[in-house]
Amino acid sequence: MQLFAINLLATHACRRPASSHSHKVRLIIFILLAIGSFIFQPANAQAQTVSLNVKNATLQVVIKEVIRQTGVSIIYNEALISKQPNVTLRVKNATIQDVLRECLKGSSLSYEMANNAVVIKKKSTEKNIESSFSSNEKLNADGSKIMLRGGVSDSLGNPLEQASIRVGNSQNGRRYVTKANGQYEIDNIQVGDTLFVSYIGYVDKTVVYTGNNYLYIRLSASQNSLDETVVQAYGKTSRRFTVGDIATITADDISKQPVSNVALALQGRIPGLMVTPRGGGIPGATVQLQVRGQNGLAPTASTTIYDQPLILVDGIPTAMQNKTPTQLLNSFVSGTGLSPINGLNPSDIASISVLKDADATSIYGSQGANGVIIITTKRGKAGKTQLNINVNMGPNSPTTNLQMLNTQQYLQLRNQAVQLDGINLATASSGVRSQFTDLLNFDTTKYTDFVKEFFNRNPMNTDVHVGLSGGSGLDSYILSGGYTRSAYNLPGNFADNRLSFHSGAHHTSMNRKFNLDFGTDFSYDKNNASISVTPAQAMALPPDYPDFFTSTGALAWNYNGAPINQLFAAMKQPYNIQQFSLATSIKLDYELITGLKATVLAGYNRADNREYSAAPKSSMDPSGLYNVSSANFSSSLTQTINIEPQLNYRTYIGNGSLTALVGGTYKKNFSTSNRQTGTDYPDDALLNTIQAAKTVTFTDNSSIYKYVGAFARLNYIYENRYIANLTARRDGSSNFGPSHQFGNFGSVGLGWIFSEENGFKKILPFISFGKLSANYGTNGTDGVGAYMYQAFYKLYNSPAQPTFQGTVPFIPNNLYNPDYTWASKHSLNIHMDLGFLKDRILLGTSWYQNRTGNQLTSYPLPSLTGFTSVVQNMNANLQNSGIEFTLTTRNVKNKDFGWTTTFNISANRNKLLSFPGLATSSYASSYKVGQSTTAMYGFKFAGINDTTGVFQFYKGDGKTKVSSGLSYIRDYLGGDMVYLGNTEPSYFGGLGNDFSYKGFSLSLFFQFSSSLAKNYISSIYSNGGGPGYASNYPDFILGKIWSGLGDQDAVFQRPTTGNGTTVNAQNASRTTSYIGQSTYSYSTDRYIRLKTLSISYQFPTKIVKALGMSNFSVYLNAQNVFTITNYKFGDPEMPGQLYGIPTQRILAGGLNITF
Amino acid sequence: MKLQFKKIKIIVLVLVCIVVTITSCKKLIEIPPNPPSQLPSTTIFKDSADIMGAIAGIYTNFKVIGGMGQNLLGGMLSQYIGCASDELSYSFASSFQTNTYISTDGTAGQFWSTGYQNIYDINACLTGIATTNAVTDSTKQALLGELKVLRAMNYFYLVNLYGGVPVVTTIDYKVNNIIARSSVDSVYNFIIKDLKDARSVLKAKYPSAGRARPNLYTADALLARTYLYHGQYADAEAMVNEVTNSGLYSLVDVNNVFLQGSNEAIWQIPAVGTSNQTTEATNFVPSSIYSVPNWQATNYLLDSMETNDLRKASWVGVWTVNKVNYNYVNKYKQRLYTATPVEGYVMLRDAEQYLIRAEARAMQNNLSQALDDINIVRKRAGLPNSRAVNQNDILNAIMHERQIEFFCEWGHRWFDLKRTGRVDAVISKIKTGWVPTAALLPVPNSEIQNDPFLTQNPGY
Repeated sequence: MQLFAINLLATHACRRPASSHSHKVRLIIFILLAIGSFIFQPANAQAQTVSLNVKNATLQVVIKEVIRQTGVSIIYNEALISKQPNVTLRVKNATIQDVLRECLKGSSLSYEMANNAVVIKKKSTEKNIESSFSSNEKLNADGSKIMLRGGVSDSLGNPLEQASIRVGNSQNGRRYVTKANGQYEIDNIQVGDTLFVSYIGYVDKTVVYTGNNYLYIRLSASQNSLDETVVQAYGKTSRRFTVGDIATITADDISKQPVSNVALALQGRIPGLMVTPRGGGIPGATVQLQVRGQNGLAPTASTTIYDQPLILVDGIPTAMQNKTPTQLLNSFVSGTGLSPINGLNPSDIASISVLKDADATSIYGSQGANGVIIITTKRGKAGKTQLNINVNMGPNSPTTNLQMLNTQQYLQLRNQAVQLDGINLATASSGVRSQFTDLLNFDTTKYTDFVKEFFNRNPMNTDVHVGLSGGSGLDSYILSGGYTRSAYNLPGNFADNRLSFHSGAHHTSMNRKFNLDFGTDFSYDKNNASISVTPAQAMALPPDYPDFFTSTGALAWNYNGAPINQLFAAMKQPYNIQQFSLATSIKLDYELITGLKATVLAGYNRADNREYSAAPKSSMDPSGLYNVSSANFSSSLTQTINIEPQLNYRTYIGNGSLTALVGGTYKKNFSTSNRQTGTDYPDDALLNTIQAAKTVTFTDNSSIYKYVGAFARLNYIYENRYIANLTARRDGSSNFGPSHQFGNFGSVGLGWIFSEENGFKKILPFISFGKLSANYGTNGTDGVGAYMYQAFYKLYNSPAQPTFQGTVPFIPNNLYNPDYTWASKHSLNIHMDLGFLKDRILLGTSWYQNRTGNQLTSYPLPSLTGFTSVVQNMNANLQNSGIEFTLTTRNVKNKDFGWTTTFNISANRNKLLSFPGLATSSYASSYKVGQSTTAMYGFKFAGINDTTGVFQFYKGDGKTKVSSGLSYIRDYLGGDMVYLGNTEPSYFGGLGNDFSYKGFSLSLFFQFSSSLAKNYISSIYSNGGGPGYASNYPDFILGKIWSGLGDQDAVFQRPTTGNGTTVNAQNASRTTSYIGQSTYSYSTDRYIRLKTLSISYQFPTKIVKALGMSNFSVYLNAQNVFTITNYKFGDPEMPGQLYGIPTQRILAGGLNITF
Repeated sequence: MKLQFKKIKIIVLVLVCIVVTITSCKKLIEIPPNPPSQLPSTTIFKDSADIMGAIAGIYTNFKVIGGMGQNLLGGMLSQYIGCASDELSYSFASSFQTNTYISTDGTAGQFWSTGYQNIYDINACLTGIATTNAVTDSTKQALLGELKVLRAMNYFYLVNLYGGVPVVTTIDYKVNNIIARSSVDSVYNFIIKDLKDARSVLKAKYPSAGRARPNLYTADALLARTYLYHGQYADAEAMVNEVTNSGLYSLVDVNNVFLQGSNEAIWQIPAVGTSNQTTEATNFVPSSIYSVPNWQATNYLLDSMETNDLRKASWVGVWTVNKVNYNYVNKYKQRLYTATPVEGYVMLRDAEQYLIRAEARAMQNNLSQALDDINIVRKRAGLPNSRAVNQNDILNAIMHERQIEFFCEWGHRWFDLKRTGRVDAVISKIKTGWVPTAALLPVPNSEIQNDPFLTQNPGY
């Protein structure tokens, strides 16, 4: 007989005898559902109002009806209720409270709301809910044994599924697990037995059984960061019980950083993750990610094998991953493109987990070798509807500024170079004279500071985010919209504008067996930033350069007989890229039997890129004889479909909990792109259509990738002390030839929480937690394009489709190599977590050793073979090993004041372990066994020759000094090139301090790094040719240029114009191509940068309430505030790019209001 | 316990289901047999129309139609090798102007890389066509002959630019990426063999419209040049006789030499640009009334021209910017695209045949007939007969005639200076810092890095 119930409807299904057949059918239905879910509309949120019309009904019937209508759990004691008077009631759209109040009028009962649950109890002053069930229930016939039923919930009354209950004092006690509705049943229980209840993320609870038939247990959330939920592959875990290496940042960390690209929010915060912004301060530019070092060979080859981490949003791989959309033009200033994740609004993200080691990533098989980044978006919370408005604005400015030479300084240098080169400008040929327009044609009294002219602006950024969330009962929703404008220093409108829309819905069925999660992220990003003016070109203009505009405001094209390189014309040539991205995910799960859950995760992501560029006639020199206007239109569409059915099972075997997961993946990624170029338009006003063009050329392209996989994970935690985690995956990829498509991957992870050992805490009481874990596993990479295992002929398409005498031509597309397959990565990871002083200090230490063999490379070939590369595996073994430390301390925590510190540091060492046949391979000149793959080879710098003033280098013998030129240098390894060092950072990390005092909070986050990197020398000589050329240079070169015979302290060689014909002049211009490859161009780049400064004030509740709000705060966030560095000139975060757009200092002041 | 078993049964069943469906089914990862714009190499030679597409691709590579040729056979020789010798100057700093190219110089390497890309494409067609059943045997033989002319042309320029280059005959990259250099002599012998093979199967009739694809005389004309360069004078003379006796070719008015359909052309690829016609015209003819021509004829060249030479009037243009006159190369005059291309790209022309024969005859001491050949060319240029008498004078007269007839065309001047041993004397007179090793271009550094068996030329 059932005396007590939580939500009667819930009990129905699980009591039906389970048949394997019906479950199979159900699973199939779910898979079908998932496939059809693209047209699925989320159900309307369950109404929380009740309409009733009952006459003289029993209270029980009425309550069941209320449950049916609202989905709210109502907990009651049947015996109690049956004794209450019948109810007559007629209401329409009343609240639960009103209905219950009416129903219980005149009874001996009252009710208590607990968010998602309502408890009906005897009117009493007792506050303890458990006690309300301590009624005088009878024991079983023999007087000792009882069937106990009950439920486990969180402090808000939300049932906790798969919570663990152990009966008995010892670890040998019987184990039970709660169902989806939080219910449990325990038989043969005796008065005095102890129940130990635990659940990940909650404080364990011990209850002594006192003889009730029903026991309702509430757990309170743990404040210990060891127990915080961490998103892992296909599920959740906590730092306490994981044996894998997963680092996480949360919405809180993200919100403090005024960055528009979420990848930048990870900088310095995740040990082992290198985040490299590729475009410097250009808004929207690509950000490169690297987890624990470079796993593949040839990181610098133009056709690099794709080596970025797998990026998932709500479990679904993003369509573009971290691949830059096809770019029409050689644009985006520094040659990088729009970041494919720029569409994600950081304000919509709840957490980002970075999965680093084998235990965490092997389950992703051939996709996981470069790490996995799981982005989880925000979800609504049932309860009061909340409207959140977050607005901020602020300027950005370059973190570093260059002061270039003024006209006087410039001319002095230039004339000196002319003199040294022995050039007589008066008698020089017209060709030579045309190289000296700055001296011969321009007004040498004019001065323009072109850095100021082009880049020195403080444009305003804007960010607005409005969110609405709420829900009732078992349903919740979130809706939010954002607008972000990230500005750019150039004159004109070159900002990145983003509109984003995020939505999420959650539904739980009334029996709590079925859950549905649905989320979409849609964004529109328009970026104008990628015009063709490179900063180097603008900064390097001679300071006496004529005005770019005539007195009438028109573009000037020549001055005093010399042509003007019209940089402003480029700004009149529009370029933009628009990216529409859509990410949707649906997760359905259903509890088949207690502990066993079937899940289908399905999603569809797409990225739609459109690019436009035009060269109007008005941007061209009107005197040009063959001016032809043109416009380019391109679009690309990339789509991913991902379907993953899964089964999760959790039970207790012996003294441990066992969790099992099996599942499969089907993924299809397909993309198409096309481009049309129209030339010769009748009117500039028609440049927006292809129809007006006299001639049209076009290209199109497409690619496809399919992937299937089956995976499993088995996790066993014995006595909360010993942990074993096994994962396995078998997967197949269409990127490989027919006999190389399938691969097997797996990992074994073991953990020992030694602080749980008996007596440990007595001996070392200050160590509150100690875990030692290790794992070993395999991964692969399949980052090559489709079809590369076959040889193809392609249409000849550059730039137009020509015909040869009426025949459409084909040319070979690639070399034939059907045999390549996964690169395989084996990694060993050892991790120790220590907690001190009740876990107020947490120290994590990781050591890892990853070895990637059977390297999948785009193998460089001599063009003798007809091509410059072929995809093939190389029998080379590349090792990344390193250590990572994280330290989290709660220094002070009291009522008013709090202070926490986080610190992380990582160091990776890359090493080529073995490479049979290296000497006779294409890599012979770029790699050496025992060295890093980022090792640099070049010339050993030998100072400046003090009689000629020309740079010198050591020959291979290390003794002979030569300047280049006629005594040629053997420019290859083993010739005169030697090992210069490697550019991998020696260490990098971050240090954060968060303070709070009452409503105030202050957060400081420093990022630091140390590496060997290109310095300003390489920049000076790679731009224009070096001091003396017709190109301007920063004023720090003054006083550092070789001044004449015997000058020993010079930094820069003698000036040269590049037009001299004497041996010294020729040598001096020749060295400029060697200096960039010499030791002189590299130096240590060590810096610590205040990456984020965030100050906020939260108004006291009283004021906020008075204003009709539930939360109100104002804040000031700043990014890249200041830097301490040994790096001499330029931005240490962008070494060797003196003339790039520097990293921007971004300020954002704003307010955050919740109603 | 019963319940436990049931659970396990369910799990195992579902697990097996999932694993079996997913991993046993290769169909799930099946993709279409080819990307939309590509054809598998395995099928292309099974279809006669596709074969012609692959051959058309080779010609398109030769002369990047509609593009700006940075290509061994696409006009790059005229510019850069012209600049390296004594006939052309470039407004901007160029290592060719000063003969200081280095092994990492992109342009110097481009001759090599585009040449070997052409050779790969040709070898791929040779391999594919050799075994095809899609065309008749006679067509097959003719196609193979035609392809060998194309291959010989590439090797001819490679060996003259770089010296003894590797002779690549297969498409297997595992063989080609460890190949070593051959001697100059064996490269010449390879070229000669290809051309001999070609002339044994080619017919007098051009295989397609115009003179776009080699016929028998195209092979003869190139073989005549090769023999001359290789010192086989009697053979060279014989080959020229074959060409001139065909009656197909004649010297035309200097203004018409480069027009499409010119009767002087032995081999001429039609222009099909969307914005231009030939690379030469695009590069040499100035683009705006304010712009100084980037490439200018040197005074050395202009001074070498005789007065009243029609070629000077027609083939050298004068451009005035700010009252200063600049001389530009005006052989190809059509800078822009026209619906029906006016000019076509002349690969080989009749005038060269006469000068080849003149030299071959002079070397064999047949001086009077040598003079006859010189005078045929001079007559067309509106010049009186040559007054050279002895062998040395006649050879000098031939060199002079070649200098003026072929200036800024296919690098003729540079190769003539080198093969006759005059390069040091001539270039060192007009350029400071000349070193004899600059007569050969450096092998691209990346080639040496990627093929460990490849050696660099001396001086680099």
